[in-house]
Amino acid sequence: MVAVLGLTGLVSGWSLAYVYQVTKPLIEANDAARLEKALQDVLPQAQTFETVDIPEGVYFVGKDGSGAIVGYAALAQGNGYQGPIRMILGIDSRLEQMTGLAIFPNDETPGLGNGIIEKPWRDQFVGLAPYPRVEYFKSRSKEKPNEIEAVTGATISSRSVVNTVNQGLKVLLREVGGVSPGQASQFEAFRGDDCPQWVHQGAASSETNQLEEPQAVEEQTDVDSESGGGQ
Amino acid sequence: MSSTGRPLHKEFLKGIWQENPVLVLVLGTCPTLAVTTSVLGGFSMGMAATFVLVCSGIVISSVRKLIPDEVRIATYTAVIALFVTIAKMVLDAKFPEVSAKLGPYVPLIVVNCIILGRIEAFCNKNNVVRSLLDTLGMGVGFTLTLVVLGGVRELLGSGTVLGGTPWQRQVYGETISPMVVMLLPAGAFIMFGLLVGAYRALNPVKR
Repeated sequence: MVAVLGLTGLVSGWSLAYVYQVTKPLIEANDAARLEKALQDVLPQAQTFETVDIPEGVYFVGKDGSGAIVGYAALAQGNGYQGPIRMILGIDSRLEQMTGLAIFPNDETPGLGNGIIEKPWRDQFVGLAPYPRVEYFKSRSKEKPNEIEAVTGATISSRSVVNTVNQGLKVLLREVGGVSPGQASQFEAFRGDDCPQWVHQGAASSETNQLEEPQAVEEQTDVDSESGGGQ
Repeated sequence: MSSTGRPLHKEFLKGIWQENPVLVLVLGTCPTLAVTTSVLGGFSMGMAATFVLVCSGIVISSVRKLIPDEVRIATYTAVIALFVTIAKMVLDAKFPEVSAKLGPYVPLIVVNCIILGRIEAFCNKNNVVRSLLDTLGMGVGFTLTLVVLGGVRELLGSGTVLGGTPWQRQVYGETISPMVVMLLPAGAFIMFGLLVGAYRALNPVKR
């Protein structure tokens, strides 16, 4: 009895170790390829990417063939309806316009929340300025230049992406610099967020002290009649 | 420990129609309901489960006389878990998109009742050839059912055919919005019920 169980365990363990060794480099290559593809997607002009470590994780500097910086990309994560949503957002070298948004595979409801991975929806972010805060709208047409239309029936997923994008942009602007004082306070005003990965560390950094009244401008609450049922 | 005495081809074919694991035995309904939002999801789930089912069926039936009765379930579980883990690693390595789409449902094949059910009810008592045919038939039956369910739900819920594959077609969705409920759990239950009903209409239970 013990011998049979022991032998089964031994043979299984040995086989798994073998398969693990064979597949591990392939799995890692797939992850790297996925990251590379997402980076190419958000910064199409860049040919090489340089990874920079920051407290929040990493950001990437995209350079073209001659070594000139063409833009920056941040890896950001926020909480969606079913689980974390990871994404990469790109911004041009002058930090004026977003160049793209790539969203990794996630657990949002297929057919509803998962609509955020569709290219036409993500492309709404292209060309948006990093401030004022990106917002979303639904059931009406576009009124302001910095807003995007939420995925129908997926308000929570859309809101999560928008908040994460705002957080990512904020960190990029801070890290890369180039934000003039006026713009900084304007940007800094948008502090309400539900994106813990960026928030805690971001709020802990010194920049918070520059604000006279950090709590004065609260994020406007989204009174969301559908938020119970929709996402 | 005697064989069933059926002709060998029937051992294979029974899993596809007469004893279809999903429609007749109503086993393995968790993945059946969860991943059939598209043909691709249903097909890849079916293939992964078939791989695990056939491999563990062969292993168990070839060592069935060595396994003491008292620890047989533990041994089966270890063997099944082995092949499920292999399936997950290979999917991650070779088909990362499919793996991402199926998410946690590949590791959950471990608790798929079709697999333990066939091993306990069949492979435990029959030789390797019959076990191979039986598990293969059950796997094909499972896959076909998932593909049909996935196809209907995909067509009604997203308006596409074979979405995510090189042959994908958008059938409608520009002017008529697809029924999103078909992609949600409720739609899965509705279509599953209708499918079992259709099967029963075609193949009435003899009393």
